[in-house]
Amino acid sequence: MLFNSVIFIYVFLPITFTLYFFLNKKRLTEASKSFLVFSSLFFYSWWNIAYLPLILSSMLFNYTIGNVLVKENNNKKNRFSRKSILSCGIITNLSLLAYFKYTDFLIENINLAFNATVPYLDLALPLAISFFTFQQIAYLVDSYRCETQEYDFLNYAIFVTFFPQLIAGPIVHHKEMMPQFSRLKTKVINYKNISLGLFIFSIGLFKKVVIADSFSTWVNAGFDTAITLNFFEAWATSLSYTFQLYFDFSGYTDMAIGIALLFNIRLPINFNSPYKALNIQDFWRRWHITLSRFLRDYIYFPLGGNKKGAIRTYINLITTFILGGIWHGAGWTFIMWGGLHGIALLIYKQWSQLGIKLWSWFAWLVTFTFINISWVFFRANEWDDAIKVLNGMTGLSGLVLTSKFEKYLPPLESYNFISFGTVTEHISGGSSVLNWIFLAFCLILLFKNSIFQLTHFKPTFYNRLFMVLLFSASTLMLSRESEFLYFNF
Amino acid sequence: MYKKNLNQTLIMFIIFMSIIASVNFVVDPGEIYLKKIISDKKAKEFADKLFLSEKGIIQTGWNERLVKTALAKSAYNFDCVILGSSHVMQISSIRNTGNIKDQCNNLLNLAVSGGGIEDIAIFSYLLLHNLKHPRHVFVDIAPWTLKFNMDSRYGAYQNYLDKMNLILKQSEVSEGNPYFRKIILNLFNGEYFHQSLVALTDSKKNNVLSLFKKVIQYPEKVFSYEEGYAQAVTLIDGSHVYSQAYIQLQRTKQVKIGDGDYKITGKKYDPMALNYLKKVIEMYKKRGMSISLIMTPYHPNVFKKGMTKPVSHMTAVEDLIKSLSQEQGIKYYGSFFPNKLMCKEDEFYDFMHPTNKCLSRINFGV
Repeated sequence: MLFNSVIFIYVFLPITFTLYFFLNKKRLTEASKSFLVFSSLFFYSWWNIAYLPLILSSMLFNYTIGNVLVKENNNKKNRFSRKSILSCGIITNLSLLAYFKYTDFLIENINLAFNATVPYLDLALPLAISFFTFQQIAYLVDSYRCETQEYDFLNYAIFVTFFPQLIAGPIVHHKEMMPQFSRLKTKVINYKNISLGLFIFSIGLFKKVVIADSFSTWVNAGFDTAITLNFFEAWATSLSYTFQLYFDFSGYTDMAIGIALLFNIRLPINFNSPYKALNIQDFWRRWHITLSRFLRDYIYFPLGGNKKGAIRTYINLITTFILGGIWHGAGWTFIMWGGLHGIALLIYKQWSQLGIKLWSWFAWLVTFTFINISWVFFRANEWDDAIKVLNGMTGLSGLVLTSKFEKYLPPLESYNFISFGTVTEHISGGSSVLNWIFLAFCLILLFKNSIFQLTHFKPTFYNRLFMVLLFSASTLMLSRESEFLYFNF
Repeated sequence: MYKKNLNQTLIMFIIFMSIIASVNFVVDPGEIYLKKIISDKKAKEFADKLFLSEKGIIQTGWNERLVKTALAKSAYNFDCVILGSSHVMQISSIRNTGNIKDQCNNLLNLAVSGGGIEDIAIFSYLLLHNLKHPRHVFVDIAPWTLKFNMDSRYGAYQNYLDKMNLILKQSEVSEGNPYFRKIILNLFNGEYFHQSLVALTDSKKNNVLSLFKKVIQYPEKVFSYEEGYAQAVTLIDGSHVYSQAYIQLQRTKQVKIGDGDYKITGKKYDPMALNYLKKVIEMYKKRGMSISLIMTPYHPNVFKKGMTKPVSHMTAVEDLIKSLSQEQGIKYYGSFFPNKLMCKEDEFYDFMHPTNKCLSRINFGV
């Protein structure tokens, strides 16, 4: 079920909300928790019930291992060392993820390297597997570090399956969720939280269905359909994706935060105006914050972080980012994307040691341009698609100027790479793609982000009007229901 | 304070959405709500008067699908029916296109612009529920017919499609979106609202009041079918004659080399749509009606650029139709390729609409 579907907004969510608080009002706390788990699993199974046993067995396995780790801590006569139990847990989780996500990628590379013809498994990627696997690995590591308590299975199941964050995050820590679920205040309807929740949900829904989905047409045309892209088309395509991805994923996160607030649960923020970043390090402190936190705490730090000398720090950084790239998808384009970000961070660290300060606008331009270019690898289905867009962006595929200029600049046509015609013909964009890109730049640079709006929310007439306008406009666009980009990762 | 805020927000939202739904319901640019109620009655009148007319009825200003559904419901005394797209809208027993009279004395043309597989199913359903079944059905195959959802205009008649799917036991065509749910959700559709606003500001568009005032007009004088009348005309058999102005305008236009890109997107055909067509054919055969398929030629310029996307789609679809005909033991007439029928460049209105002269080269007498 999609957050941006009629069935979710007008049927599933109201029913779940009403029944959950009804059960709590009747003091049936355990029943209300069970109902929330059931609703979340129903929400998950809506796509494909075949994957329900997978998430259930994954939960059961990790819950058992986690509990063993907690208990073994007090047991001096250990049959197996705690480290081997943790390793077994992590390896099992990663094997499951690797089987579904990376087997075909591995086969593809084996076939390519050894000229072999190993058949592909063609497995469908179970929804949210990357998210719930990472979340549970974090739980196991924390159990090993004695940072968890012994929870019952129901509480653990809520922590993993809570439907607002189940599919695409934010990736949450048990220590920020478990106490919230057991708090008495969580069980009572809170009108302030409902107001805040609906407010941020409306912003997120608008970001997704009105803004991101508008960009998707040009992105798909540019990356998937067009055979060649001229200079302006290539930039329009890459910028459209840069904005589509941000408004899609941050829209999803806003909706998740909003829905959780209806249930009196506060999810961590995941985006903090990332495209305002003035350097790449700043960007990663603002983009997909909960993933960055996970990569830092569970990969970068265990690798040694920055405590083992400069060279090791750089290797750790690049390794972390390449793993981050692979987490997003099985393909060389994702590895390239991760590698590029790792190298960029490394260059930034070197640069910052020089102590030279750039003008803010220039620093922003460099950072934004790099991010925009790197997203080309992130989006491209194949290596050739990325090259096609990058060739266009560098002007190697020619420059088309609007035919209005033809009579004023006829000598330009003597240059082979310049011609006159429809500037965005191959992406069917017309002037609207340029207008949307301009609008998106204004939104990301001139306005405060949704989290700021949330923390400064007051129940005024203008806020009500703003919310109703966003929600109504989004409802009117629900007919073009589309999946969130991060569902694929 | 927050409870009051929520109540007021909810009230504002309900008012806002009610206004939008009301505008969509009343302005109704797709003629599926208020206008449909009024139009259905008017279309019935159109159909009844058409069958009694001499020179046909002026078509301009009438919704094609609405009129043709009324024709399908009210028709009597016809032995053949033709279904499909605008490619075959001119085929007529009055004009004896391609000696069609050898097979059908009274043909009823139910083809509609952009007609796809859903339209074929909808009109088939209506024909089955007409007291007098035709003896023979011709189904036009366009390059997009073997794919679903290639033209959304059938949506206003999806209730018939849903019923036809029940008969064929095929649910995937309507994507599990029953007509009633679709029609309710469409009241809150932004694109529909946009069209409503456009219609409100465009005086040329039919408003509800103009529907009441809508009168049936007959051509005042006898006219040549080749040159057309001042306005487009629907002949007594449901076939179409383009307006004089349109015919003259098309004569001055050149068809681009390699053109032909109309509804040529995605894969060449959908096996599920092909299977669906098979079921429709089998249904007709089971009910004692014979069926044959028609393909009409595209302009020669379409083929001058080699194996372009449209040409490759046409080649694949034509091959499929040939083998389907063989498999089902039914006839097929015509071709997408003009050279097979000896159609010349000046025998087309545009890249995909042949004139009657070219259509007459498809010999139905065979």
